[in-house]
Amino acid sequence: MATVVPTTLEVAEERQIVGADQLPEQVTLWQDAWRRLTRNRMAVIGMVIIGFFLVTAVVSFVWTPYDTWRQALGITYSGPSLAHPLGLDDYGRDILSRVMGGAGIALSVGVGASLVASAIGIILGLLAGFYRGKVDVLISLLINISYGVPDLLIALILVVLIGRGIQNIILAISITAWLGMARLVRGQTLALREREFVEAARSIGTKNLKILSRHILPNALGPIVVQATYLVPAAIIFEAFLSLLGLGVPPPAPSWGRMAVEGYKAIQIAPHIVLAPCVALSLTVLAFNWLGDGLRDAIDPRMRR
Amino acid sequence: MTRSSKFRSIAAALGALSLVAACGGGSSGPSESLAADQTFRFGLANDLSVLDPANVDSAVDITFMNEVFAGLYRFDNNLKIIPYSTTAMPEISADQKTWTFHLRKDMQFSNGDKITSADWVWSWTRTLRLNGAYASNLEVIHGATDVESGKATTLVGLTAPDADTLVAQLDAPAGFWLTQLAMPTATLVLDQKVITAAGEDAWTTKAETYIGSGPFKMTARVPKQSMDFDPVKNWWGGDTGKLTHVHVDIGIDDVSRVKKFESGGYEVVGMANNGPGPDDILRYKNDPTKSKLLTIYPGARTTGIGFNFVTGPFAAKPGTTPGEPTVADPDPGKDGRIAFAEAIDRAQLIDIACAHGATCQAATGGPISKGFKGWLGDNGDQYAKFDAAGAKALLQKWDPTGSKVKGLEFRYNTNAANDKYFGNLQAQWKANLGVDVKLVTSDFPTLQRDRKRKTVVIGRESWSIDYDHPQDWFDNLFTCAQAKVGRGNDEAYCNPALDTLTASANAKPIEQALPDYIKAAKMITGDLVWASFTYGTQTYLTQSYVRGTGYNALYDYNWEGIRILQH
Repeated sequence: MATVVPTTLEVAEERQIVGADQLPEQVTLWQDAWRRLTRNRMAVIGMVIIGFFLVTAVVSFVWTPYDTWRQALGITYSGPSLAHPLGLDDYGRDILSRVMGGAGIALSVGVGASLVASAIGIILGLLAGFYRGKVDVLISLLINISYGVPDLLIALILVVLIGRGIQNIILAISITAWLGMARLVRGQTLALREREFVEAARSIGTKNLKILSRHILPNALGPIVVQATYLVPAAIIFEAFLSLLGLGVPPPAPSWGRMAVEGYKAIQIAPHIVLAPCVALSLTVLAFNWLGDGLRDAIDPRMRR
Repeated sequence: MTRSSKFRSIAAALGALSLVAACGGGSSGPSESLAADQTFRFGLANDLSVLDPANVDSAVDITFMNEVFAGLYRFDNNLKIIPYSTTAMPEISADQKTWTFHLRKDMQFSNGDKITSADWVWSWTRTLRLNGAYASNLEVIHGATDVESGKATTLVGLTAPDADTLVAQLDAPAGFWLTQLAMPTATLVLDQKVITAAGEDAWTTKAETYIGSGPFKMTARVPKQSMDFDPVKNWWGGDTGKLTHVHVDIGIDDVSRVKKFESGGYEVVGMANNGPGPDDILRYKNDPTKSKLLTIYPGARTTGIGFNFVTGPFAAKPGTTPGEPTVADPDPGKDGRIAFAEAIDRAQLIDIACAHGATCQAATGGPISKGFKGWLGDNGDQYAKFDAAGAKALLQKWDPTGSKVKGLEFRYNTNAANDKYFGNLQAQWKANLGVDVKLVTSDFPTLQRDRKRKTVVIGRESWSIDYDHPQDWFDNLFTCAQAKVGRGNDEAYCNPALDTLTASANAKPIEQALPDYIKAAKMITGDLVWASFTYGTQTYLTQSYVRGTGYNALYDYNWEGIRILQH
């Protein structure tokens, strides 16, 4: 259910009524949310894991122990050793280097798809909720039709048509991932557009674009951030699944999904190959989910389970 | 033990095995205690694509044709050509253009219909009329191409003077024809009565009308599920062996085949080119007990890289119409071809793409596969040596600005084996030449289409030979006639001197022709049409209680020699 989050101004006004001398410490909504978030143990663990992979990803763009594409670094399928702490894969590539490189791809795809999908969903959701009428009917129809078509089918067709580059994968995932965000924002906007502060803005002749960007969007930002956080692991999993079907980021790019697929084939003779990318993938997905849950609880305490 | 010495050992062991088989070791000896149930079972990934010998076009299909149908000659387990439906080798006239075949008088189809020379004339004419993939094996007969094109309905060059004699008049001497006749495809005899009654398109759809004259007959078939075969009772050819039944499951992938083998459900994995996957091969290879069940045979496939001779940076004569000569001096693309060829470390490739050498072996003797007629011997290909520094220096001389190889796309059809091959080559070229080659994959028909248009600049080439004769390589892959758009020479390489040499060799018996073919093989390796990098292998898992199975580098051993011991 959509909720209305009071603005900083509203919180401050409410507190003024109580009396200045009885006021607790003045904090903004986001400061308050951050405080609650940092008290949530799982969310903190999630943030630490995400931070770790984020640093790993950034480092991997400039350095990995070995080139992620370089093969025959030793005997193929070799287990962990000092030179190769996570072992070598079926091409004789260093798994640690590839897991590091895979972090860059996973986070790029995850965050990139989340941003693009959120942008599409926010714009269409705002338009549908604010203008209602034919605009709402059209956008809602588009959302409903899109819900009826399997995500995977749309993504597969897109990838086949536009190719398998990382930008194309992000686009293909975004095209299927914006629906939830659009519905959420539409609901938020429908509720917010009837609020007094929007009426006030409208009464003084504020233009629609300004109302949307200055009054409605900031007030809907909390749930949007939560939803966008959940989109990241979904996109990472989706990319891994595309890789499973041979349609993910093209080789030799070290996608975790592709590494898992390649490792799975050799699971009986070299289980370590499948282990490292799967652990990295699972941890990242879990971390984003924990962070998403934490954010949801922090931004809107009434939603806490 | 080095890799090459391992292969020598395998070859020696195979040779010894072959000798034993040739001397009668294929039949059960007195010490063998046979199991009561002589049912032989194995699995295939895909159903047969074609069951009509006139249209057959795959090694998998040929395995079954070889058991159900009979030709004039056949290959024994050592690839030696022996009379089959004939009483002797053909009588060849002095001008080598008239071949007379004396047929066995006792031949009959599995339904009891007698076979006469008229059946051969009818079968071969029909095969030419349908003009399938191997109809070319009959094209040497006078008038054959007229039947293929529909200009004639009678094959004038083939006559049956009496019921037991067949006479073929050839357009020109063809030393390779005997080998083509032994291949179990287009030259097999078919039952005219059955095909006419059941219908041209229907006779292969039911076991009861799928009639041949080979040692086995099909008894049941469920498309995409299974096939069953029994030996033919009182077979005209003699003993059909010990097997009482053969059951073939269809739609079983390599992993599932091995699992069923391990549970005792299959006697063998590897029949009909359906071997275990590379990971299972490695698993068996690395296990001292399981490795006894694993046999790796040399195979008749060569895989490599083809360079376009008329389009792109490697072209010898850019802009030449395919089919026109591409001989050029200087050759502007040759240094590029050499650089890309010599930047390949075959040892690394074999290690990574061939499961440490289990699924293929390094090709260093030119395009013709190791051990086959026309092979140049180990290191016979001068550009098969690995020289990273030399290759890089040559590349820099040939393409100092990198403009020639910028955005270079390598084309291949994607599958697990090819992905490994070319994933490794991509990494090797990047490491050894500093060139980023983009891999562009497609399905095989798309690749084939673009190859025949001669638009693939650099891409996968592979050839699995049909029979052990160099003519099969040159006439299909390297002549000017094949260089034309729509034909088989994907590189559009055209060297009139090579054409003259091979045409002359084709007319001679193989013993006399071999030096010319060797010279021709050196010409194509010298011009670097292909950079061949691997020769195939065929891997079998065979239960310890099974005897008589094997592979002779082209075909499975005949089923007549297979038997199952008590276990």
